[in-house]
Amino acid sequence: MNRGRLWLVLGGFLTLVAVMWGTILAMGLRPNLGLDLQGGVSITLAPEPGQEVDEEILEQTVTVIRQRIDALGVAEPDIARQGENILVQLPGAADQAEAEEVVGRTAQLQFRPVRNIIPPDDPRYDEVSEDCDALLQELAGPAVPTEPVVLCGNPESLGEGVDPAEDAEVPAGQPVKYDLAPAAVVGADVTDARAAPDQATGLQWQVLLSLSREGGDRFEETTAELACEPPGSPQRQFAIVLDNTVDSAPQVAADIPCGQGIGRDAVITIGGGEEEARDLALLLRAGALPIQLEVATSQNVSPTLGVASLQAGLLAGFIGLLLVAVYLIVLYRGIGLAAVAELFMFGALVYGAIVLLGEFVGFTLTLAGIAGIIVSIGIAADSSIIYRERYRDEIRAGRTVRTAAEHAFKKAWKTNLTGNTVSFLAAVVLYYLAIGPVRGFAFTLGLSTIIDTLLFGTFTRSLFGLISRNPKLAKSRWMGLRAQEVAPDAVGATKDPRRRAKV
Amino acid sequence: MTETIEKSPPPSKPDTGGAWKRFFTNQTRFDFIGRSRLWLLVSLVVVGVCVAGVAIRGFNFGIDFTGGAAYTITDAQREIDPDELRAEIAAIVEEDLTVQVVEGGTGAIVSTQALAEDVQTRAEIVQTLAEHTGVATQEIDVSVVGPRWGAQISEQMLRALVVFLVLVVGYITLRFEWRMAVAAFVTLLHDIAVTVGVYAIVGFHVSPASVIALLTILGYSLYDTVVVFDRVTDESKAINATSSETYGEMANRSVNEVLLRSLSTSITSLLPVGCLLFIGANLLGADTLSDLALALFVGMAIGTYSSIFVATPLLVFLKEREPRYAELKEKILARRGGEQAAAVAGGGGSPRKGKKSRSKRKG
Repeated sequence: MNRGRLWLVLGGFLTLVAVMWGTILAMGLRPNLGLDLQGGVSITLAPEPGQEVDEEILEQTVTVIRQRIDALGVAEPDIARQGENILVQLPGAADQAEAEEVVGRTAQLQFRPVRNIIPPDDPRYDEVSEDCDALLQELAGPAVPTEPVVLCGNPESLGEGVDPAEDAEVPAGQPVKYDLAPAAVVGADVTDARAAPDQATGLQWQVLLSLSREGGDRFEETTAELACEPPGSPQRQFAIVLDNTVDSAPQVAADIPCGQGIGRDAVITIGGGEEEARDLALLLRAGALPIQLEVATSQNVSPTLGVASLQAGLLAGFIGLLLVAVYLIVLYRGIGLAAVAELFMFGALVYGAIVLLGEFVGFTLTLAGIAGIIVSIGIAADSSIIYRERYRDEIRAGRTVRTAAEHAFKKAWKTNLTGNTVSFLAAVVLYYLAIGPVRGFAFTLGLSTIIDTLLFGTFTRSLFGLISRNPKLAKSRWMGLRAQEVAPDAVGATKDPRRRAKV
Repeated sequence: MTETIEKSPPPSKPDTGGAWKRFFTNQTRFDFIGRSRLWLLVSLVVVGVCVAGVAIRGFNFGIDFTGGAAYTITDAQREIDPDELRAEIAAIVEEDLTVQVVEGGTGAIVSTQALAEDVQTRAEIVQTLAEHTGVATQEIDVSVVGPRWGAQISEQMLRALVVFLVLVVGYITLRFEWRMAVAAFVTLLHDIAVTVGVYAIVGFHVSPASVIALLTILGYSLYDTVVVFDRVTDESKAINATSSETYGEMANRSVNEVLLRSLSTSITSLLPVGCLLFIGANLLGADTLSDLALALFVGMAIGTYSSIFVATPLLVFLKEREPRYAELKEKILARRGGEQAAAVAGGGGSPRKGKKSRSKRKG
């Protein structure tokens, strides 16, 4: 490459860095910090072994968990899947025990006889609690089964179980409230639930419910009482409560005589089709979550500790960089100083990339990620060292400063590519196969490797090339380019057999 | 008096160069290959000790592998007495309780390996800790790990390791040749054995961060090995039937030439990691950092050693079984035998002597 092209590469590279940092500074961007650095609660949930888990079930689980977390009222919760695991992240000072309890509980199913239905226009409606979200937050945990409670209906099945006439008066978006008696049957009593078409007509879908002996007895007792109420009365309804929300409140069928309830095998006939029936069956089978989850890890980091960790990581990185800089200058003089500039650029690019990726791809920087960056300082410094060592070899072989710089680049570039391929391979394998904190580490390591190669091909090459072409600098004893410093016995070196072999 | 001082040569500018100068200008002539049997013996003994260490002592697994709960307290209002605290917590949970006081008594890590999922017990422990240390309950950091998590991550890590090794062996075979892949692979196994052994023998606490570090070390050790092999491959192109150097001597010279690079790289890598280790050890909550740094520190040092003392001798051993390099070696040794009867007695080919004889013939 001639001097003009080297200047072009250098200029192009610096423009890129300037644009990157211009964007960051203009938009006032900051890195997206993980919970271990900003404080918060992070919970990993894993399916208990021995269950069939597929994409759909996992998505459903995430949805249910998201709804539960939203009810907690935490700002910016993040619920994501990681393989078969589900990662729940709650920034800030969230209550860890509460979060775990809400997320991990499975059997939140209750069957409660309805005492009264309170439509939104009823004056008693606002007495209990203004809206349903507030009501859920007030409860902060599952409603006590042995006590009566007022709960909202499922907003998705507005007015279900209510007379069509009453239904018309329900304004959109305001589910009715149910005044409910203590629970007669809970989720643990349900032994099985299956969706099947109505055997008599074959038109409607039903959910066949099987209960334990004890639960069946209570179910029979309760339905026997409910059956005494006139058909169509709210008091004849048996509410199915899921996660503190009345999912549906079916009527006890009109043909059930008073005092003679439904036993261990009940049939719930629902208005909807097959899909609704299957959903309900699934919910009844496993509480509200489609699969049984266990808390695999749960971590609470207070904001103070998070900030302290971040500062420690940054401090370690900074001191490390400083020591490396001193070492490089002592070893290589002026071209060592150039290597420090390369390290500085490396830092600017890595940090910039992390900020931009955080903004546009949602990458979060964790403590393990910082460790990855600190490790990569070594890789970046090594690229500079390899180049300078190759340069010294070429000088010793009797080349001039300019041609030595060029030949050294070619060889060092090849070594850089080979070495970085191995590091990058390690990072990719780690990223795709590992779980937990390892991924953050692998990501920054892989990113740094790419940036290192990019930097080497542009900035390092043009900077070193231009220095070696500057006659003043090339002759300066402080630059560390001259043969006198690099190879004191350089005279004999020209007769090196390697040199002869190359000619 | 002054005359005698002036007469003595200034020590800072030796023309021929002392060992130090030679090192800085890559003119060292250490005999790495010639004494490979010694290094082999050393490495075998070290690996043997490490394997025995793992077998006898086992690992000190952290709660991430065993399951359990850890409580971290920072900025305690009064100095924490570990025995007292321990007694109070033991009243709630007794099993596998460890209490570690840090930061001059104002911080502590309490971990138990039992009842990880019992929310109430945890609340009780947090309450006790808060009362004992005067820290608000929400400022106590709790980390809980379920019993199956360790198995899950271990399995993932092992899978990652196997895939990585297969890929790397494949890559080196393509990029260089299979003999180098074999040498690099054996070197990796050596590094794994030694790092893992150090963990078992010293009893360092094993966390997921240590496992991350182990995988990184492998990457690093390979990187180092690849850089040395890259040089050896370059140099080997110059070898032909009329060369005056055997493959082993050439490899030895290559290693000497990249010695400064290897050491510089190790130093520049260990400096930041050392900072991480030092700062991480003095700060609570940064245990991910210090666990990582510790394993890296141990592993990088081993990686540098092995790329010179294990990988290259092994490569030479494999290469000199190739007919053309074997013939060359025989020829050269025979030639030198004529010139210098003593050289034959050296057997394995001493490059120092080789270099001398070569320059003699040229001069």
